Amino acid sequence: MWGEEAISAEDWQKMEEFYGFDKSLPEQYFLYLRWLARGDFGVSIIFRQPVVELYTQAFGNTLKLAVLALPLSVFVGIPLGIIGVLKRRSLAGRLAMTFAFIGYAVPNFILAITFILVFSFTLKILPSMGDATVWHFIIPTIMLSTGTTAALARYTRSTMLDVLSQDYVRTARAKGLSERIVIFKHVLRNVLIPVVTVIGLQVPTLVGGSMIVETIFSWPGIDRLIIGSVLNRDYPLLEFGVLFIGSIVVIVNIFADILYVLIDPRIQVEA
Amino acid sequence: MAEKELKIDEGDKPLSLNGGASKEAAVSVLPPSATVAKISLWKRILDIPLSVRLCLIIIIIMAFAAVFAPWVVPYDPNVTNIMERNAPPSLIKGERIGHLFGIDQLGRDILSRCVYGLRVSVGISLVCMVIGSLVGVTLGVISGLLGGWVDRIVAILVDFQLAVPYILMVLLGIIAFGFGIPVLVGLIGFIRWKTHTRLIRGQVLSIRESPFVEAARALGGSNFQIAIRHILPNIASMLIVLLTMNFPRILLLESSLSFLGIGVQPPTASLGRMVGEGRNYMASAWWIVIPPSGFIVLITLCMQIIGDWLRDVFDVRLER
Repeated sequence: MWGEEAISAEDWQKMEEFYGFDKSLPEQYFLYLRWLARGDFGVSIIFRQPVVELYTQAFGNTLKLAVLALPLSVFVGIPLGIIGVLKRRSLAGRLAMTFAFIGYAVPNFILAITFILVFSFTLKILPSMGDATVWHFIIPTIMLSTGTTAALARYTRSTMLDVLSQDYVRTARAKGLSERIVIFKHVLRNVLIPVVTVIGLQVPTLVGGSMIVETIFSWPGIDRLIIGSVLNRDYPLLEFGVLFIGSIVVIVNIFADILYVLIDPRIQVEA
Repeated sequence: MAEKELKIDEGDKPLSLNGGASKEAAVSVLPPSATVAKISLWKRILDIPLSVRLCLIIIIIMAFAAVFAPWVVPYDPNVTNIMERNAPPSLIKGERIGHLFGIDQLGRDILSRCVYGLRVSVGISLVCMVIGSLVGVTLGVISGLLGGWVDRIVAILVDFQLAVPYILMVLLGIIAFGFGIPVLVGLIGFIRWKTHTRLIRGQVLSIRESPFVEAARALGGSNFQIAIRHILPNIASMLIVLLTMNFPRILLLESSLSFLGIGVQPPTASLGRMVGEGRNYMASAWWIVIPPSGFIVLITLCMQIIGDWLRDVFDVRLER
């Protein structure tokens, strides 16, 4: 084995001790917890750098994409769903729902590859990887948001159909209110309430989606670190990644819950 | 006497799962109306729209190709021919023979690899689907039927799954148990059940209160008997829709993982893996990525369309 020549037995033992690999699995777990409690998240085996440092460097890049992609899907997805219901019988509505359907059923790595083939290799108008200029952000942002956009559009549509069949909508129409006021004041408000919670639930999808996006576009974000850690068996790096993303998801869900209470007066928080 | 009436209920229940009016009709009215309902359902099933027919045909052809792959494919999917690598598809030259979809970066026939990849991807997804629905349905029925602390524990498990992204759980599993198809199947199967559980629990909760379950209970039926003989037949249509809708999602998860290089390992052909490997040659040889991508898109779109149609036919509500 080449390892025996490259590293002395003494060093080998030192390394094992350093990472705690010489102990039994339960012991390693409690050791890990103890390190966690001290705020020590470990050192990456491949990069030989504290994992926290690696993640803080990479997180900004992931955040940039997510911050662009989430509003994009909210501001495209929800209107798509609404158009899909209101213009049901016209071309616009059909197009909206077809778009949502394709975004939902076609995996985003295939969409991304199609985009690269068309816009980067054939038309040569957009760069295919890296993050140097504004142009570099266009395809990755669109790719990251498609899945969420489609999910939101579909969900908005079904919620809206539900709301439209409610008694209070009929009452509003019977009162002689204009269709515009019925839709904007009575329907949309009630549609948005459940949709907001779904936006919160989309964060995990966004995280999964960005693993693909970051891999395809060589984006130096946290998801690429995570994929790399799996391929390289870099345990400390993966452990922190899971902890990190788990925390983000929990925090976002808490915010979604708070927002839910704020926009829906029917929900009262018990003191 | 009571038993006989019970049977009638069972028989026509699945047909009137969701419509409130027909539900009452099914409970109170005699067999003739049941037959009417049955006919209209069969009519709805057989009255297949053109798009769905097309999808069914495509799926059947693909299934046939996947099952009989060794006899269908023109070349051995793993034989490499270095001299011919990255050769363009003979189809674009207008030829009907040779490597129809071209040759990949290692000199392997792309069409043959696609068919074998289809076989692997679909096979994995099917097994995952079965595992996932077994777990999901069992938990959903148990928590809906028993309620109490069982229900609460299942709810906690579901919440946990909602909070952690699928891909992350799969990654953790892979790094703990190693690479390989059995690990992958187990992981995806045991991770994708929460939708089943939530929806089926809701369905069970409403069935639990219906007169025929009460009657079965009054006659001394155990929970197990009720679950098997009364609950399961009544959630059958929902289950069919769920399975059809879930299949493309699982296939996407599998191909995404393989695309990232952490799913099916080489040299086994898998559609996602082929796209992932061909990605590096896109600028010079686009035909390496297009065929496997096409297969994935075709199969997921078709299954989705069939699923949407089944949902409308059975009138099953899947959102919340």
